[in-house]
Amino acid sequence: MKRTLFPLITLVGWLTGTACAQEDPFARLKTYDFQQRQVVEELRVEVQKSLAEPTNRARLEDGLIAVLRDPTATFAGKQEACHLLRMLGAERSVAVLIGLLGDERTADIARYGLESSPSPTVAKSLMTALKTARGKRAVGIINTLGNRGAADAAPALVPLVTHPDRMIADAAVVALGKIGTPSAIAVLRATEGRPLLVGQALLRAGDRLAAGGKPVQAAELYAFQAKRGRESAVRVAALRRLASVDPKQALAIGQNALTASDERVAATAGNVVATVADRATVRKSVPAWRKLPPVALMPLLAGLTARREAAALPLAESALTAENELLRVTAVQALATLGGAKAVPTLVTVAATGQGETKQAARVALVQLPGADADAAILRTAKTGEKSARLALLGILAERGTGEDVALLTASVADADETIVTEALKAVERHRVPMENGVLLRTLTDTSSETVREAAQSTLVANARLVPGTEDALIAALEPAAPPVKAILLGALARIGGDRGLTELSKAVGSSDADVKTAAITGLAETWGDARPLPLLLATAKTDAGKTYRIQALRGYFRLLGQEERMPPAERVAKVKDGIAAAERPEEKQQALGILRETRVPEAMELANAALDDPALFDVAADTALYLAAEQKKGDATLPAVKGPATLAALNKIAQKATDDTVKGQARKLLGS
Amino acid sequence: MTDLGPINRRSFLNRLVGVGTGTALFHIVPASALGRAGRLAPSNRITIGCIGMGGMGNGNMDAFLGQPDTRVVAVCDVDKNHLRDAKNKVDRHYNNKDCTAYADFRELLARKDIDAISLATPDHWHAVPAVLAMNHGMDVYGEKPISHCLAEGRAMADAQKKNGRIWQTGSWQRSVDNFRQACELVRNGRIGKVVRIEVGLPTGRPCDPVQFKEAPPELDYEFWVGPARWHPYCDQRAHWNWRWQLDYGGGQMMDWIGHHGDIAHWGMGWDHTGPIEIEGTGEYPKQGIWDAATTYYFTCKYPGGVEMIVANGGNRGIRGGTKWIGENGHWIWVDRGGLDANPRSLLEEKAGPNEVHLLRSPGHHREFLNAVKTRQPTLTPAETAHRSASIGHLGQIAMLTGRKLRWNPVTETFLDDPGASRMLSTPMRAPWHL
Repeated sequence: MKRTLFPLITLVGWLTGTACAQEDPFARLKTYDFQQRQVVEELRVEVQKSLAEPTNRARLEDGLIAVLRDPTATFAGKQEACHLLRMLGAERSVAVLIGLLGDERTADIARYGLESSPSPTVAKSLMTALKTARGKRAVGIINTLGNRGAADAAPALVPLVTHPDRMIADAAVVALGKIGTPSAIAVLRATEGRPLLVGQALLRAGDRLAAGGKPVQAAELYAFQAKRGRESAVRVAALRRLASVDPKQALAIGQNALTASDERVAATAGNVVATVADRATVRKSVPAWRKLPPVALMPLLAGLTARREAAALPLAESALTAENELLRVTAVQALATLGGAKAVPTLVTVAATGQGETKQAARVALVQLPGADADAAILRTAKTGEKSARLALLGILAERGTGEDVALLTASVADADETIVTEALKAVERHRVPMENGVLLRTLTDTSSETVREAAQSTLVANARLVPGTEDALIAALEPAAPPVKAILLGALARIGGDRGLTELSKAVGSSDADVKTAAITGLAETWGDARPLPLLLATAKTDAGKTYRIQALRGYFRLLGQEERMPPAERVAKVKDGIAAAERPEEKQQALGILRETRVPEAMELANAALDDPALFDVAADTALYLAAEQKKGDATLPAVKGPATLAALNKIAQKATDDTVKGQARKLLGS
Repeated sequence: MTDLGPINRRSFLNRLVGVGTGTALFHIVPASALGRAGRLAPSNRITIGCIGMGGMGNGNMDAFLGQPDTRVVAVCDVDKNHLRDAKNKVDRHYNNKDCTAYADFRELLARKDIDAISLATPDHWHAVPAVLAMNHGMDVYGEKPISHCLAEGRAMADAQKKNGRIWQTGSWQRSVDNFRQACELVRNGRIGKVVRIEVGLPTGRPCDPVQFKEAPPELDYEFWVGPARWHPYCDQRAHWNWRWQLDYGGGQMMDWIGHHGDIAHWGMGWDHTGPIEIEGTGEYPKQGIWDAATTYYFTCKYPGGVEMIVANGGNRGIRGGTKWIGENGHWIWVDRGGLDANPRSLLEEKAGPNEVHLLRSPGHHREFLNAVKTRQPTLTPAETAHRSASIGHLGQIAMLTGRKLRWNPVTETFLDDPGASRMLSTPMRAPWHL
């Protein structure tokens, strides 16, 4: 259907749609333009109401039929009329809809109303129309007959299977499959060529037989296709269906197909055999199945696992050493599902010594292995197994997280073996296992290993989010602790970031012990996460006797200031100014200038401008000033340029003094010169 | 002879479900599959044809190009520009000119050397190529929502089972940890008995008057319209915007029901069922070509009395994302990048060894490829996707009819409502059919 007068359609539609707003809806539908939807919506609502309350139905049906009969009605209007008649299921509209089938422009929209019409006359009328239809019109009618399952239409469709128009011939094959009467099946079986299309049509006919209570006939059709289908897709689909209606026959055909050279067939055979094989067959077949290629063995083993077929356990055990990694993973899953607690030693070995995905699969299987027997087997191995097995199980215990698992992890944290302790601590932290603080603190304070101490510190920090009172426990442990331990406790408090921890860190900044003091200043300057320690850090930067401490404190001061985005800009600049005043080296002043870049207020520019007078700061100050003086993009937002006397002064200085021509040029450009 | 007893269509299909779709006890899926690059047997390489090369199609193709054991061998689109760009991208990736470009998906599906297709066409173009591909023995990675109408979804789900194919839907949120965690918490009863579920989806918008015109020469518009009702071309019709037109998509509601509605079902273990009562209202534009509901609010009642509200976010307080509410007032909410609960301590909980563990996905595309090799079900088989999409289809019908509908999720029929029943399917223009 060629449609070319689009602008005209649009113009006329809009004009008429507006002008006719109050008129009879059917008159307006005749001029519907594809976008003034008001009338379509009104009629849709009316049609739906009439389905609940039929008094208005005849009027609606008559109105819509009148639209279809009107030669001046638009295509859009007629299309909607057909759609609405379809909703109505109107029997009286059949004649007019059949009439539209004769015109290529309206044949499709006519079928909208006919395809689901409850009228018993539709099929006969369609067959009459089919006699004179050609091309797509004929195909459409055939499709509708097929979709309606019109058994009476089979004789009319049979000769079309060999129609010279391939489109019509194919449509007839598909429709006969949907109709699925004995005569239709006979014709399809006798049809040569198009093996995929015909094969699928026959399967569809088989589906109709199966659903209609004729499983034996369906099985015969499926088995024929499963054995003799010329297309692997048909053989596969037939075998799948056969399993549903005749498992014994499916097993026999499937067993033979397990070694088929066509991988699709072999894979499906594995899938089907897994579903239909009885236990005795599985037991008897395992030796032969061990030799199957992965393409058949994987679905076979996975399918047997899914139905919990214990006789398949030896198959899983042998597949554990397969070259194919995905098959090994399948074997691990099978072993865990079918073996349960008995599989624990093997799974632990794989989790400890396996590689890649196989190892990971064993880990996950152990984490998810259910039942009290499994619990006991895992705990037994974790207590008495080889070191590699114990190490592998620590994370698994943490993930399982039962009471006994946690108890064993707690014991492992106190193990004599440093590697076990470290891994146990890491597992507890990684899997967020709440742990008794006393155990962790004892480990931290008693160990001589730096590695264990650091692991214990991290675990305590993680524990603080899970166990109330962790911060208090750490603080209580501070007093009696030796300085190196105290240092690591302070580090933990800095990472936790609580109020009481801050108090302790503040006290420790004044400690006479170098380890403790260093830990406190490092914790605040390099670890702490908010602005609360700013006054203390600035005071330390100004007054501490040790230069290293002063510098470290000031750097921490600027770090925290830089990440404190909620502070008002003026306050921030004032604090930067205080920090610069305390700075003894250009490096810290440069750090301060970096913070100013993100503080777009005139006061920031004033500081940058002042810094331009210090040759050691000139380059960084110029960079900051140019950044502030220009408009910046940040995400979707545009940050305005900082303007004012300080900006002009800074840009003039840069334009005059910069040694880099690019920098100088940027300044001049911003000055507009 | 069979000893299975009388068989009707539904039990026949249910038995088919049992073939290879059993639930494995251990949800482990490897992040890499057969072999490593350089020693991959040809039979272990999955050849892929991509149909629909717009936004999602390109994204999915990129994902497959990035896998070591796949080979994208063909691309297909009715827009010559999309097609050219896709072919060029594939050829650049493999440093050759081997990728074949097709304007007609039937030619691509006729190839014997393609194992799986990636299908990312507009909704009205899902069912025909999907069913044909599965009839041809191909596996499918298909975009959500799986279907344009409920009957098409049923046809696709049946085609997957009957043909023994693997299907993964682009409902990729199931492969993301926070969604899995939320669903595990719900499944394991952490909020007690669930009484209400809220699914918040985006709000739609109408479109201004358009200017109809000839389609651009690079677009085969007749093919693009395909089985759907014909409407004249305009710039607001095809690429991307098809979503807002009921003849080609289903509005924001259908565009997202396969995400947050799908997650709601996953959390409840409702992958094979649906609601029993549906009612609601929607605001359908009265002008312009975008006719899908812009705002909407409908309620689905499930067996056991659980209510699911689906609405555009903000409508009567519904929050975007998926929220399950328990009888004691505890709740879990999840969205992209967000997971929240009341009480918040629930977020620290995990599934123990004797509880439900949902699949830990190695990535949505990877999980599909592994399933292609093991022939085990994916996270989102066609049946699952069909049930998720059904929420939206049923809600749409309820809003369009303005009636409370009663639904049988086993037979998938309305009770005593032939008018609503006729809306379950959409007739196709010739020559297209399922």
